[in-house]
Amino acid sequence: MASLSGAKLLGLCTIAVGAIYAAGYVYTEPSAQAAAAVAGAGQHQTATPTGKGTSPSVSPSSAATSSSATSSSTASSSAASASASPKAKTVKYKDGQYTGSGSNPYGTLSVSVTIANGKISAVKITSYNMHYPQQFIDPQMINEVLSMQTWRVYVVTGATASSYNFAEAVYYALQKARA
Amino acid sequence: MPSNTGSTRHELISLSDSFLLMGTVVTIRIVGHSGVHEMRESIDRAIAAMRAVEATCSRFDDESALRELCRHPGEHMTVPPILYHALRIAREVAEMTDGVFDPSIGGLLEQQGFNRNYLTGEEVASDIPWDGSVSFRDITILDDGETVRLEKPMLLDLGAVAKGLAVDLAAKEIFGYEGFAIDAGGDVYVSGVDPSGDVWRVGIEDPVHLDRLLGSVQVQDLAVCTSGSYKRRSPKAPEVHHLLNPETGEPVEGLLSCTVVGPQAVLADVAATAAFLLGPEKALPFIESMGLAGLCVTTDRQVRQTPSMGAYRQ
Repeated sequence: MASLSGAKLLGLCTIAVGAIYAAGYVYTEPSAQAAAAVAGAGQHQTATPTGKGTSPSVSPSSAATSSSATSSSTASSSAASASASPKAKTVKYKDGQYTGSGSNPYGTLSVSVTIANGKISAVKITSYNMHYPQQFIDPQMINEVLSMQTWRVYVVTGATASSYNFAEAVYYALQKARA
Repeated sequence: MPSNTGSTRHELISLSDSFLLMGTVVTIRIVGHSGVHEMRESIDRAIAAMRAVEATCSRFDDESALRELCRHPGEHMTVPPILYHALRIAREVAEMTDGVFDPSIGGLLEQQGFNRNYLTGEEVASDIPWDGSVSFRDITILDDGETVRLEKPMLLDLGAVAKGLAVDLAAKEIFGYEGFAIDAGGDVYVSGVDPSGDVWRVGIEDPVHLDRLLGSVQVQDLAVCTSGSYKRRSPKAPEVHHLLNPETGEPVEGLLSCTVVGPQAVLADVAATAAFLLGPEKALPFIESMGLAGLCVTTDRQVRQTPSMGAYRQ
């Protein structure tokens, strides 16, 4: 039976998913609240992100996947409250799609990296020819493990696997993308 | 893996694509009668939603909203909805577990060597020292839906919450099909039917023999999430895994994994993570008190489950 706290957490989770979905995914940099109330938390996906300009400490280098307004960076705004801590420099990449391949003792793999607005927007696995272990890649493998049973398992839950296997492939793709 | 389509005797087709996201492999599979093109668009929308969560909540990205918030302790900050709600959930779970689950633990994780961006390989240094004196109680969240203040300098870690939220938001982007499954490295959400036309069966990985399953659950429109100590290890000390007790800074003993079934991935993931951190005595009672079903594997390899879990397992 669920306790009151369980019901409260369920409520918070439900509200979270609904509110975030309704707001869309326009990225807004956190901003210190100055005198004026800051608008814009509820921008919809279709709204142009130009409203950002009104908030006191907009940092232009933060263009995320969905906002394309400010792709030119550097001019780190000298907004009063935000100036204290300088941001670490991150590598900028050229927009486009780049492929990279790698291997490990089990086989080869490749990825396709999409760069948008100078940042990594997606890394798709385009081939994964591993001999073993590929239980989370190929559900048929699991069927062999479960050979005494007849059902199919297409998806498996387990502790988080690291993406370490793909590091080499991603590295080569990002080398090509370096501006 | 390459995207692949397949059809079955039920005349269902399915499309699946895999991506690297949030430090893990995310696979989305859609099942329907037609429309591979639409399926691919749905997958791309779902991935974009997940990427937005990552870009906002990542501890490993200097430009994330989370890191920007952490650069401004002591100030009222307006944060994006994703970060606001993720923090609210994390703080509530911290409250419920009396700080055994604690989102202010980022500095400790960083100190233990969990500090590399999984895509660029770059080491992340937040320059925020960890001295054990901060806790979730130093996170003030206003009720206005956008304002947060960190009372002390801290590095936040929203791993469990962010990944679950990402899966739930991805699920909202996929509709109008016979079924779909989202698998984000242990956080699974399934809806409708699988490519064979059956209710999805989600395998539960055996934490001791990784090529085996210790069982499976058959679920519809539910999340199945596992939190465990057996995959992510500290590069500095292999005996240290990524689930640390904030009171002691030590890895938690007694359990190998906890799996929780729940209506949302974010709820199931935080419940599984909190249960794992609570340890073998309190894990199952906690899952039950949340009104959820689950099972835990102990270090002496025993599987224990809530009575409600029996309904999903055969």
